[in-house]
Amino acid sequence: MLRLVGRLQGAVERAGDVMADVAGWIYLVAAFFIGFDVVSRRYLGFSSQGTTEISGYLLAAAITWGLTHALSSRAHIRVDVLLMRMPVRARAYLHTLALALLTILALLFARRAWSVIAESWELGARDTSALSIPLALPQVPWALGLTVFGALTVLMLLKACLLLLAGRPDAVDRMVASRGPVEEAEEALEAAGLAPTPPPATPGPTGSRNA
Amino acid sequence: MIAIAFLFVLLVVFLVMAATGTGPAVGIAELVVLSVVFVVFFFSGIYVAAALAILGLLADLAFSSRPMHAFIGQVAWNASNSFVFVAVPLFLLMGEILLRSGLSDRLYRALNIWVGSLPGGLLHTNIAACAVFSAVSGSSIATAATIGSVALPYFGKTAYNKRLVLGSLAAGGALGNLIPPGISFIVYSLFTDTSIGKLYAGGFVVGILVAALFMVYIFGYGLVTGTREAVTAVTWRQRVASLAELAPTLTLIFLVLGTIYLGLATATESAALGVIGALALAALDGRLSLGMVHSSVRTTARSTSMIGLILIAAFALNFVLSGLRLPQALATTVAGLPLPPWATMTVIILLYIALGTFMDGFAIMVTTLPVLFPVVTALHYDPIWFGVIMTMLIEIAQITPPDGMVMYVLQGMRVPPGPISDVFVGVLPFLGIYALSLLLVTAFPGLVLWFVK
Repeated sequence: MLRLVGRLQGAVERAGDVMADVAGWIYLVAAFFIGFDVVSRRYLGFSSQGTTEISGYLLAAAITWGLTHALSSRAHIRVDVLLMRMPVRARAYLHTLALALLTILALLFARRAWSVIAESWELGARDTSALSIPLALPQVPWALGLTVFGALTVLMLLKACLLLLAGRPDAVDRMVASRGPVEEAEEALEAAGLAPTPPPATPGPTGSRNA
Repeated sequence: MIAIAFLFVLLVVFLVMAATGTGPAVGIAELVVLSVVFVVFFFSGIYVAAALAILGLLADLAFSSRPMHAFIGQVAWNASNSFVFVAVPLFLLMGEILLRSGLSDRLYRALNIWVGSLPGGLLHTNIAACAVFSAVSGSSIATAATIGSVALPYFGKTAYNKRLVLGSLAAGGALGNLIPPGISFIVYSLFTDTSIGKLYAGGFVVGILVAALFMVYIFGYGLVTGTREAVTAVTWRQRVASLAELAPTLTLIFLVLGTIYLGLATATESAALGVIGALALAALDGRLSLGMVHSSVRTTARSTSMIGLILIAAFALNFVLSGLRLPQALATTVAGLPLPPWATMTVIILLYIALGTFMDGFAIMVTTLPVLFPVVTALHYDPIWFGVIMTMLIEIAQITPPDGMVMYVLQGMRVPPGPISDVFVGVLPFLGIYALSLLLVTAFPGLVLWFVK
């Protein structure tokens, strides 16, 4: 059972990674799209007539497509300053509670997102741009992102419960605990082209973050 | 722990107020229940977004006569496709690209020619480089990482006090959001319908003020301790030559800020131009590659989704709370208190400082703004001024031991490594100056507003 859940989780996480990459490149595309529109509107006298709307749709899809990757890389923000001072057992139970509430949020939003689409479709709702795009169209990828995110929260919650039953609170902690400031900092350094130095002799309070 | 004690006291004050029946009791009682749930949620390590959304759901189920959660899908959609919010990923992306480009190296060298010969030497260059880089970056962490990575090698075996070196870089990094284009101003504007251009103008003036005060301190420190560069003679030929090195950064600043102020572009559009400009600069330095762009966009995707989820949840909560007219009730109550407005403002500022010691700055903003912003406007404080104060508080949180992210970024870059307490001690004088500036801006709102108007 645990293995099956783990395998499914792995599959959803891999899908989430790909979706996050797509989301990232969408931002780059949006930048060129908007940038080109600014220049062409001023100097060439034409515009896409719907840049505001289209970049909004791109953003909506990209936000939800990155959610899954943010969860699997433990980046979603929590206030865990007290949590991280507790023993690992208590921590594991609270991690599971946190996952349970996140699952409620994700499923609620995913469910409501599909109703929004159904509504837009039935009403034949179109946006107010000159292109008059049917709203249901950009709402589908947006809802899809929320749905995949919902799937990962369910699987992670299931796995956390199974791990608790199997008496492995430490594994729950490893799966869910936030990236500490040290871990966050290392990533910024890698990006700047510096090899991170070994962890300090007296690490600061781990777990809490302040991005 | 002081922070938690303070929050607890605040909660008790609210309870006493509700018990003695000050103001519309209904709103306050509900607010207290919600605050208690909120505090419990937060301290048990719940995801901030989940805490906000579920709080909204509970408030809706408990107090609302019509089911508002049925509209949550629409609220979420409207929050997700806002054109203003597009500026957030674009500015983040620009920062990520610049972090990986060679821009900061030239910037540091060029600025050093101008300010490095003052008493205090390279410490001035740290602040100046951070301040100038802040004008193309909307993130404090990106600023600290970018400038820190080029600055630290310069100090190598020099006699500079290493604590002050780290402290000045952390403090400089904490200008990243305050000096436009800052991400926190965009989020503030989303929640409060204030003009980004005006917020940026306010942030610009105060950012310059804080940077100038930092440099005054370093100047004094340099005079007292005799800290300065050995070779101080800089010819005008060198100065003019350095301008060429500064040109790429200045071009980018114009592309981003100039276009906003000349009315050529909105914040989102200028962010798009900034991304293109940053790519061009990276290409000029031969740093542009598929791998570099890929890692930039991936980090951007993750950060944006992290912010986006909280933002969507906060809008959902905001929708329910405004439906219940809670923020309005609180605003009327607070405005009717027999307290002078400045006392209320002091409590609000202390609350933010307390929250800042253990909470992410961005999370603080979205969780408190929907409730506190109506209070602030009911007390007739200027929304632009409050946006600047809020950003200053977020920046202060970034450099307040023991939890500010910016300090950990610098700690991670030190060669050789040392205890984190070096950074904590080094940043203290700058933290004091930041607090002093906050006090100045609070006491004399005109400092911000003369430039905005």
